[in-house]
Amino acid sequence: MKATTAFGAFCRFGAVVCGLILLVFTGLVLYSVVMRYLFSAPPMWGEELPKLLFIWMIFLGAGFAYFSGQNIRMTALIELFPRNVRRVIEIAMHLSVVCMLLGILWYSVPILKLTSRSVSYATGLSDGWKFWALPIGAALLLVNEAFRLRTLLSGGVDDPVSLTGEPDEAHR
Amino acid sequence: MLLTLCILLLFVLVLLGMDIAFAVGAAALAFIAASQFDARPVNPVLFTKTITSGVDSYAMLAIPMYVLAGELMTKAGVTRRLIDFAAAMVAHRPGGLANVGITSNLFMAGISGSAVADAAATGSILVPEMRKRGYAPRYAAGVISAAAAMGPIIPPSILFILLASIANLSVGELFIAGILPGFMMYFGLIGMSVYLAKRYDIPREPKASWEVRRKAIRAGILPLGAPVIIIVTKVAGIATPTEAAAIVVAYTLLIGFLVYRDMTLRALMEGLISAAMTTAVIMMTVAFSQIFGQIAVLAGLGRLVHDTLLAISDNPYVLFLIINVLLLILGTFLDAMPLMLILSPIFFPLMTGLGVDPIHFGLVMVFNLVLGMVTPPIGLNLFVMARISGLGMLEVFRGGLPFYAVLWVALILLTYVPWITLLLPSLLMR
Repeated sequence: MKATTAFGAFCRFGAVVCGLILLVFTGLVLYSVVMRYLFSAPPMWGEELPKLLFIWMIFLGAGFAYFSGQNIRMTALIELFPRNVRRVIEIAMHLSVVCMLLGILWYSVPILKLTSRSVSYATGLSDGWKFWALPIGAALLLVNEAFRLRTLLSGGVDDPVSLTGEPDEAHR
Repeated sequence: MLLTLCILLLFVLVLLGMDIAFAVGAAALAFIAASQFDARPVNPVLFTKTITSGVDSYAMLAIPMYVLAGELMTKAGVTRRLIDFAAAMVAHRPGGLANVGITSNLFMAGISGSAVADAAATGSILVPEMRKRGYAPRYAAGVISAAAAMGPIIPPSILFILLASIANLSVGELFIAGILPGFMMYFGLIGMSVYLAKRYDIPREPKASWEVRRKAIRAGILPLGAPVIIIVTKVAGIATPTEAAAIVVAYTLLIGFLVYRDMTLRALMEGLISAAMTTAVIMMTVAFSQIFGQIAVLAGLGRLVHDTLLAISDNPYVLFLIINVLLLILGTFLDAMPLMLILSPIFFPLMTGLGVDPIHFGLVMVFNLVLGMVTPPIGLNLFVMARISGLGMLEVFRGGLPFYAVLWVALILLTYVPWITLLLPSLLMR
């Protein structure tokens, strides 16, 4: 029970961070417009920094969104299958997602090595910052897969529900 | 051959209920793995790099901001005010609340960028209301599902932003080009609502007094400043669509906190979280779909489609017909976004090479995919309305059929009368 509460708090924290990232880059875009018109001095990072934050919001956000059962999937057909057949299909599908995510982690290494050496002229930050978001997001998604597989292996089916015990209003 | 197998795999995975982003990614990875045994192996690093670089776009940055503006408008009670505004103007005409559904979706289309969001926002208020007043539930759900299809055509539009990013078009020009087709849809849908009301003697509401109208207009007019900001900043060259999106967010906060005073800091935080999560899920599909698009081009699908279609005809109008039918069929089985991202790199060079205006083709493509949203078995609008009304998807589809017929006619007009799309961009921007 304690573990579920802690996990819920972790997910809430992650979601708040993503929301704040969105607020910050919206503010940065506005700041650029104001600086351009009022002071004729648009910042050099005007496009690069909001884009970098956007990438982080996407991949972190995806990890936390999938924890809460928000994803775009079609369950109409799979619900027609007998329960055990459905479970076997879902286990196979989740294992293939795990393989894909491991592939992403593995093939991120050469990109990270390559980009860590170059520096963005506009922001002064290493280009590696841009490419770190995906493997971190993939790691979060792997944790999500582990939870979903545990439910499936212990006799459940993969209903698109939240892992944090919160009601899932936003599920589509 | 290998690519055909991967496309089949993609459809099977989606139908079996795998998340769409993952299904596209898994199919692409399967292709890359199998290509290692081929004469021209695809480097797997391409897979990882494209996921990130596919969303590293300043134009796409507008997407979360428009989603946020939509969320904040809902939190500030704008949907209810827009519906009241629409009701005061059109509920007494033949068609009654169906007219209100169509008109409030026109308003919502100018604020949010997504059909699904519009369907959910207006449907959850109007469908129960229409049922209470004796409308057939499937008619109520059907008309809203069709009206929400205006969402991606009238600016702002998430689909236009994505299309512009991958096909190297101007977001602003696509936005402006969508205005006339959007109003064409609106008047077509209202026309059908009036016709059905007269034929089946559907009840209408009493005419609102001028006092009530004035109040409703005063309460509902401010949010409609959002589409005005988007259009004016673009036409006057003041801001890019991404910057306009940030201005719209600021405008929404201003209305919510200072004018309506319904906005709280907690509601703002919830809106931010919800917009960030929704966008993250959308952008995952975008990121993975772009790999598939690249692979399709690498595997020579573009060449193959190009040669096959040109062997049938080199008349753009015939090709338009073939592509329309193809998109309508594919759109019923797959979500609009991955389809657009996968197919644009293939169809755009072909059609623009034959002299078709890219903005015109882009509009036709998005319109097709929007129609896919109201066609079973995978139609997101139908799905949302089915959930709101408690009906089956097929019931909603049957209820909305007369209105979908209007949209199909609009598609034909849009395809074969290019000036509907190109008039405003040529007047205002070229």
